Amino acid sequence: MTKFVLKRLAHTVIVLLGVSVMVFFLIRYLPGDPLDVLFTQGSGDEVTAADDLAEGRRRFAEGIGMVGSLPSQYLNFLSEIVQGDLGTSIFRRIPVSTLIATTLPLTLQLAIAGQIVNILLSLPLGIVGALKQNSIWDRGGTAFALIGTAMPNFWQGIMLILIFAVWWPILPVSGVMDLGLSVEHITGIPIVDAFVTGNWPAFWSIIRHLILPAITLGASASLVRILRSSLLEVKHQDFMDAYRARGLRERSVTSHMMRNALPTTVVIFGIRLGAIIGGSVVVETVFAYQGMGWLLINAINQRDYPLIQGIVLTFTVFTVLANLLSDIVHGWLDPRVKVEAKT
Amino acid sequence: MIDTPLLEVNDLSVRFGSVAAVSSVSFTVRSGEVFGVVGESGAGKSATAKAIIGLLPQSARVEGSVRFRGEEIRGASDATLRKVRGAGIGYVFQDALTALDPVRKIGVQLIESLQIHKDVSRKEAAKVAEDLLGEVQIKDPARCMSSFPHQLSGGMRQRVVIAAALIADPALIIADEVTSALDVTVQRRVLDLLLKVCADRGAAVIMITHDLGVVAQTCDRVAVLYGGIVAEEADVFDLFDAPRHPYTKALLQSMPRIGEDVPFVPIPGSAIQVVGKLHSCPFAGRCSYATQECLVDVPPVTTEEDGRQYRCVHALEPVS
Repeated sequence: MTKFVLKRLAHTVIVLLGVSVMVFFLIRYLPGDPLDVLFTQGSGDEVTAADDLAEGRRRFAEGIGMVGSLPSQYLNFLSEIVQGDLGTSIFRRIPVSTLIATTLPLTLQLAIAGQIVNILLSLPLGIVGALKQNSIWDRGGTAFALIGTAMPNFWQGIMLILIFAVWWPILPVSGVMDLGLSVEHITGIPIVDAFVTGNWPAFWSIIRHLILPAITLGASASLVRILRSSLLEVKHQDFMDAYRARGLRERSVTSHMMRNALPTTVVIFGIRLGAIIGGSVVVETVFAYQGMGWLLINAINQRDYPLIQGIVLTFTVFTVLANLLSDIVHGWLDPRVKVEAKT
Repeated sequence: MIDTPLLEVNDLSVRFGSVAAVSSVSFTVRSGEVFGVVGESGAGKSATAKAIIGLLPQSARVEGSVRFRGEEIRGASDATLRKVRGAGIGYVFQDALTALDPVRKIGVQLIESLQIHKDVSRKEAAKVAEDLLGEVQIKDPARCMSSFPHQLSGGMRQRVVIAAALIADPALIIADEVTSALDVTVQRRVLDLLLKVCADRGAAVIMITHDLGVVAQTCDRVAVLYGGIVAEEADVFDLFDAPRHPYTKALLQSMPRIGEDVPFVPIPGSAIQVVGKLHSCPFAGRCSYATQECLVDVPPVTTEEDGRQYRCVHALEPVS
């Protein structure tokens, strides 16, 4: 087990290396340059001489390490990462790691809320679909999941805003909580901090702000079809009838069926979870939810190289860890799977 | 005879859509006997067995009567069926690999099966389960209890499946092709074991098989199924010595025997699937004795004095 985890962590390093190469070079080949944004003539109040501007630009570039060939810049970046330094945001002048530490909890909070919505919708739809296969409930649930999957997130978000904030204004549409409220910083996850400190006004405000983005993330009920098909696969196995033949109640038979369908469902859920953290980019932007995805979009617009790199690498780490975790849980839920044997 | 039959199957029919899997099958099983049900694939063996304990899918239409200890269980309530299943009739599944829950330990599954029917503590149930595993000749019952099905060999698994069917002490065991999935070398041992354990408890067995060898070695009486009807039912010795139904005879002739100089004769054609209502002898198309008469209707049941029954208008003369 330990060997398996270590091996997988070693794989993670390779993945991170590959992602770092891609993100480093790709963003630099994008048209636009952070220095262009910063050092444009006439951008300030006083008219700066072109020479001064060029000189300032040169010194600034030197200061943030944007000199020399791209490969040598990459190697510098790499050696800093190895030392645990993700660099400093060009525009915010704040260490990237600090920015990530403040926005990641918000993204996690949103991703988890979205998955709670997903599970709450998927469990009943998937189970009813499998138990009453081809019934109107089954077809309705499958259709619901297909529509949810086919609808783009941003459009879904905008529609929700239209309905619940414009036509029928009952829910807030942007931010993490109402203006003027704040929570003490303990874990960094606002909802947890508000709960722990008993800050109920903030707690309710956070929940209200979570509702629409969480629905947007989770309403695709992406688990319905996975759950349904893994339940159906188990449903037609001999041991289900063997249980009945021993006199088990249908309720117990169903619970054994669920237990058997669990490993597959959990694995796919885990694999999706990593993608969902990355997928929050769109939803956070639509709802001006100041998490990591929202920060990423801002960083890309400003060509804030270090910040983009840091966020993309963080997303990568989460995706890989989610995969690793789901493999471990799979081995734990299904005795036939030997975690050690897989690489 | 004041002998109350353990199981009475009367006029049982099973249809899947337009396909008639079983057409009007009747037989009785008495306490403690081994009753064989033999036939080719598609003859309706498994459908009959599953219909007895009500395990056919809902799409199947079942008609007729199944009485267990005099009580009608065909179409009975779930509560009645649950009581009969496991505690009255045990069912040993064909494929032991798929008949056990892969994600739960053997012990847990056995204990659960016992606790449904008997008010015993977990500890007592574990004791019974362990003893039973010993009885079905599993070498290290304690270890088996804490194993998962995939950790056992095929023969071991089949023993566990037998134990699971027997644990609540049923009076009748339905053994559905129990040995088909096993190696020939293991088949014999598992079969002997099953019969011995059942005999020890006085449980009757319905032995469903396509293997006449198994029938000859294990059964007291046997019903030969073809096309969803009982072609012939007789004492096993009578059946082998003097088949009355041409299908039985053809089946016996198609069985190769070591040491006999008689060439085995395959039955021409292939097994039929009955679509719609059966209106003729299902075997007529392959039977060398068939005449126009066979195509008019399903032949009626002829019962002889010794209880032997057959459905044929051209019954073979008993050889003396």
